[in-house]
Amino acid sequence: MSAVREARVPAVVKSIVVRLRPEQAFELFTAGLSRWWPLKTHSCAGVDALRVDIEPRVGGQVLEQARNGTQAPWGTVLAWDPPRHFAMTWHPAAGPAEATRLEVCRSPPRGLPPAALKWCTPDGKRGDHGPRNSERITTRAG
Amino acid sequence: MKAAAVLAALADPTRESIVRLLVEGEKSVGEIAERLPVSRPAVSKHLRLLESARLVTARSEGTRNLYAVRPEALAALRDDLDKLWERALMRYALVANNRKQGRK
Repeated sequence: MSAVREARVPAVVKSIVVRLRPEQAFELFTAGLSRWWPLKTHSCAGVDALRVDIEPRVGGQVLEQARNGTQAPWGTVLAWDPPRHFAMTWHPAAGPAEATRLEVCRSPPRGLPPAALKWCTPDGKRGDHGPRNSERITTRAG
Repeated sequence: MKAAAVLAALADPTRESIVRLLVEGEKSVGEIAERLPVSRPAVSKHLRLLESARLVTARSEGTRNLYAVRPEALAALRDDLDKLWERALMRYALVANNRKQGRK
């Protein structure tokens, strides 16, 4: 299904370098999701959304919690390999070109210290990204 | 084409499923109804709405109508997704870098 979709709609791939240790970056992306994800505009409950909990294991649930106690499923954890790799199915109230799979991976860029992190979030299959994309990294992380 | 209009038309889960099927390729009302727990008249009704929202196009082939997703609608959704992740990762970096600074 996603292969056909990808043929028409290429995956959105983004990368960023942050000044954190790999473990901290992974933790902020997953356990700390609610601290940076724009919940007010991109959640099921909108302004009433409280947080998003990710069960830290393959097969775990990703659940949005609202102030009034209701829950909305966002997806299921597909890969849990801290601090290298996290993946989940992605289906909050969304359209077909919205990601069906979120991949977050860390690839230590060549020539940069291991603390330099690259996170990429394609909605496609694994292997679309990797060391060759690391060349694009220009920021140096301490 | 505005992503917001596309998303509004997709707010209904049945319509979203229909569009997902059409992303795989052009289909007739019958082919869609076979794969969803919805009657043919209901599928037709949703398709008319999706057509008026300019998400899908129809063409007739013999006695049947074939429906397909408009590439512009998919492009609008992809643009929206691109902007969303741009913004989300910017926020992620802000929190990440603030946290680090706060510890110094």
